[in-house]
Amino acid sequence: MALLQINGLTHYFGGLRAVHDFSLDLNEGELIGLIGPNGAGKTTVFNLITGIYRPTEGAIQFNGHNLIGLQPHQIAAKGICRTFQTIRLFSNVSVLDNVRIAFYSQIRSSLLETLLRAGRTLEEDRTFAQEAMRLLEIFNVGRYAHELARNLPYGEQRRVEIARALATKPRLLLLDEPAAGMNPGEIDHLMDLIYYIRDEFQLTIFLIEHQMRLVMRICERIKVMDFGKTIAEGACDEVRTNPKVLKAYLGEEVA
Amino acid sequence: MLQIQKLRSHLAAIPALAYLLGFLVASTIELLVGDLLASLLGLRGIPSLFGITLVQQYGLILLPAVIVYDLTIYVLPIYIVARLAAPWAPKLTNKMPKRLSMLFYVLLVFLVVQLWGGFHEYRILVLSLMGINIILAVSLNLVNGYMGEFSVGHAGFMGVGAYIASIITVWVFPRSLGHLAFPLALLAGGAGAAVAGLLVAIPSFKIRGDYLAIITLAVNYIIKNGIENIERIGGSRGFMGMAKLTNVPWAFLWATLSLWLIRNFVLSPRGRAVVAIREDEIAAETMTVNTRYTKILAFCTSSFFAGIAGGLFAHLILYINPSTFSLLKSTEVLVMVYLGGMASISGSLIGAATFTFLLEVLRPLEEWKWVLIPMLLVAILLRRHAGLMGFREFSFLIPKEEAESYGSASD
Repeated sequence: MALLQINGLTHYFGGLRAVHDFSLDLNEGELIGLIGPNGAGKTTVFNLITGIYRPTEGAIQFNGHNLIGLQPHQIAAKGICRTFQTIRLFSNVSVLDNVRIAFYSQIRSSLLETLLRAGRTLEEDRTFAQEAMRLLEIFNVGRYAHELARNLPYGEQRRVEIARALATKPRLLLLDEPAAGMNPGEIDHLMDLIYYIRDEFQLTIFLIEHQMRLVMRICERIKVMDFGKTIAEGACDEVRTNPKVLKAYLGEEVA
Repeated sequence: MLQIQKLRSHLAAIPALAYLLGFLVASTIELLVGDLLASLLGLRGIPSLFGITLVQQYGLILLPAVIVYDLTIYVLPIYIVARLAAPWAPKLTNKMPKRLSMLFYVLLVFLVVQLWGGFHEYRILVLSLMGINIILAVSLNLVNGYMGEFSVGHAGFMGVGAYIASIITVWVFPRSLGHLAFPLALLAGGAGAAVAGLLVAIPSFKIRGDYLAIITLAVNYIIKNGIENIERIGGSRGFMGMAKLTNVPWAFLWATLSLWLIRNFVLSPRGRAVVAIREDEIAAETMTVNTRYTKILAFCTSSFFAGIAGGLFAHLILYINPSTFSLLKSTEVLVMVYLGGMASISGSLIGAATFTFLLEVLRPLEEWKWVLIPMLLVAILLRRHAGLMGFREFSFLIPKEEAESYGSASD
């Protein structure tokens, strides 16, 4: 059975239909891309999956559980984590603490132990810190651990954001334009990184991207959206030559 | 200017512990010979707050006598002892484990406070108020500083605690059991305030956004006017009959306890979630943080301590009425928090202590102090917009493993 199953997802903002009849079966270990022009409804799909918006219609099942109506933190704790199109780090907090916050659902100590700073609290916090450092090292940002997140260069902030998402121990990772604002060299590096974390953390990855270079090279399957509707779906080559897609999105680039 | 700089760096080089020991000696000297010296200098009794009030009241004629008194009792002994103790004082605590050295500091500070103020009526009042204000400031800072919400009705919860604690000691327990009942009454007051906080938090945090300020403003009025209309507990005439149970040791104990517990909370994984809400609520929620629960938890904790402070206040002043817990009191707490600095335990400590001291010292100015104190606040915020200690902590409050994170956060 598919890890993530979306059926007939539809969402309105007032009278505007942002997403129309979106369906998707995402299998364990897959790496799928979602593309489309600006305003096509891609980020809205992410917001619907993660519970930030509640869909007008449709069903979302993750690992056999219904996600509709759950709070975002419950969905995150079930194993779906994401990054944001515009970086949303906790700016005035150290990089290490940014990652440590994401261990929230793994807190086991009681409130009393927290207040007394006793028992499991210290022990578990030490584990969180070690885990966080390990993640930061993987993303090559360990040396910034004690810097405030806002002081980091843009590319590093992107990597910290992915590290933070991984701290929630997700099975499905949603990446919202991870390559935004990166130069070709950085994009190559990012591709390697995405492959690496998929294998290392046994992830299923669903990503939104504008950089065709990245999408065409790493995604096994692509969905194309325009004005809230899915206009094409399939392997990279099929999508690349689909006339609807060319018209809506790739038109000028190919012509 | 150069001399002043030199003097400053010379004084700054002496560790805090050495100064504490100096103050300990000075307080002892004052206890022994303070009265004698004061009468020799022609002062009526020992100057209670370093003579600042005396000079304001009776004019500059007293200034020379006050200066002589302060020099011989405080400045010289403190300086001499601090210099002598400077080389060996740090060795005393360096070898201790962190927890033990913290306890050592707390006990030493208590000793100093008790020797200096515990045997002097007016100083007892000032120090107890200081303790109460510290509790109020540090608890409000949890919501306004760490969580980044804006609560403006802290005095309302203080009022709930004050009334519940007073009712318990006056009506429930016989007067002879006062000392035994007092801690229970305070806890009950805190619990009552926490419940009031819960009633506010549940609806307010259902929606995202800045509604808390308006709701807490309303709740402050509801509590004040509500109590005014309950004739059974005195209505607007107020409530009295409490025994004087708050003293320096109790105020010190509760202030220390609230500082310690809230420090532990903000240093913990749960506390970091509170800060995450301030920084970005949606990101926090996406990182598995149950934001609604965390907000309610922080708000109730904050109200709980406000209730404790209320109980202490009631058993210090011995008379409470609804207008004691009006918006003016809430504003005072806000001033302490912003003066001391956002998201800082040390800041709340410093802010509340400074504010209480200023309030007392400037008492002779009467209503004009309410012009001067806000002006001071503006001046401080213009120079350091984060307050005296915003986002920074004294190093003794921070455990070793967290020190590095705070090191960079303090810039």
